[in-house]
Amino acid sequence: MSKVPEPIIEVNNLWYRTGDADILANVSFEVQRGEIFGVMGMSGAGKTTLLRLLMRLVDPDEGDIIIAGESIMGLSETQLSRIRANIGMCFQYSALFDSMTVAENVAFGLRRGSKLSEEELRRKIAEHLEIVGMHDTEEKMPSELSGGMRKRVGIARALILNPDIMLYDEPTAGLDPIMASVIDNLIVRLRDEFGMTSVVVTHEVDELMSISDRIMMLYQGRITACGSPAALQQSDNPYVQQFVHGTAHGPIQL
Amino acid sequence: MLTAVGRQVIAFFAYFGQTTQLHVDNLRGLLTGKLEYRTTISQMAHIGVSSLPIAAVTMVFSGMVIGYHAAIQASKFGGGGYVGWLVAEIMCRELGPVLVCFVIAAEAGSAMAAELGTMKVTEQIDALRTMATNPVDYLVLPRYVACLVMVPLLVFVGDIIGVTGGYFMAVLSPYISHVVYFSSIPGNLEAWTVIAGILKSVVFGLIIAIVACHQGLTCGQASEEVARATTRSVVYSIMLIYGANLLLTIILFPPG
Repeated sequence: MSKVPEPIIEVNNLWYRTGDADILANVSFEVQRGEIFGVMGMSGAGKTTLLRLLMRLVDPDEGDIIIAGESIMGLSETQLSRIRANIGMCFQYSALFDSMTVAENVAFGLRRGSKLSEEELRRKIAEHLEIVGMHDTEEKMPSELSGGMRKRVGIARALILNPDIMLYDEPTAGLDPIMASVIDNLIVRLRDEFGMTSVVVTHEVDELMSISDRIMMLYQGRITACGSPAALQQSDNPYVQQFVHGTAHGPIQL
Repeated sequence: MLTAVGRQVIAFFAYFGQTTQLHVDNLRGLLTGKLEYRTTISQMAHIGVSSLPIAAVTMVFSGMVIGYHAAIQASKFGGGGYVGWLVAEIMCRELGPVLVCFVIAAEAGSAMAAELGTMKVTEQIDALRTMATNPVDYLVLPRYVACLVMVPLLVFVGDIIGVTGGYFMAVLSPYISHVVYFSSIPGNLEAWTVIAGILKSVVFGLIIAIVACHQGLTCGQASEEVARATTRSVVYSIMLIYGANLLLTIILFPPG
């Protein structure tokens, strides 16, 4: 018997407004467990806002978000902590704590949420820094790292908590092609080996096409298209065509 | 015009509500054992180290000015024997709490607003929340408790420095001796005067911590917002200290 896909994230009729502007307008989609779900769109299309809403770092004006079968609307900050414990987030500008060393950053969530010995913590820190290619940087301060290195430490900090879902905001922006490939491979490996669900927000089309199971395109806060990378590449939707091929002329307003 | 006034009134009540809520959240965190001791001690050290030198300079010069005036005026009426007490009374009642808290608001309060504001702009506060850490418990509560402990302590030290500053100028007068200046204090200065001044500083300390942390946490996303939040933190703290001082003076020193 074939396995029935199980949505781990369900977003229903989501609206988010600032002032008179609709940042997200009636957005609905599902992300299946173990899927890499890409979200692409122009800068200002509402991609980062969508990730912040999935973590409920901001509240939507309307709509519902269901994580692993539980609606996160109306939950208190304490109740949300339980949901957030299963979600890791890699921020666009890494959001490392600049008063802490790399090791303290990576261990932050684990030190507060578990009772591991210092020896075990050190081992886990080294293991996760190795995964993102940042070994032997434990004692460095974030100010001593390049943007790309900071981003990788941010990913290690989220991964060490072993979440079911990872949210990546522009994970490879500012990275050299080799390191971008390392991060892409890591996202795929986490799905293949651990069944981790990933939502990857970026405007790097090639990256999304190579790693995503499905891709959703946002334009001016609305879903323009959603489907497999192959389906999007063959889509006759002029917005998708213009974005995927990166042409200056088309229906997308610059 | 009416709309603009209405907007300001709503903004005032919203600010009052948010800061009161922050105060309640801190009390709840304190009572439920959420205090991070290591961070609190580090914050206490920071407040002490950053504010004490400027507070000391402010108080010694203020004490000298008061001592100078008091010595001249009191000598005219043969009241030179009360100059020490007069300086101590003024320092403990008003100048100590108010001036030292202005210094702390400008030095430590602005640093708190800038630090939390920068953390907000660089998404570090959001990162805390994603790692199931309440920013109020982790960032605000240690600063709140550090102010609660350190501000009265600094005010008490400031009072002593101010009285000593007054001594240096008062004894220049031929009518006031070294011994008379200090011996006039114990018999005349009531314990309540000192206690009331310290009580005022506890309230001022809470105002500084809540205003500064609130400005940092509610700072906008642009980097220039950090500068605005820092300035607002100092201005609002000083304004609220003025208002609270008047209220507390009436309550703590009732007429009659």
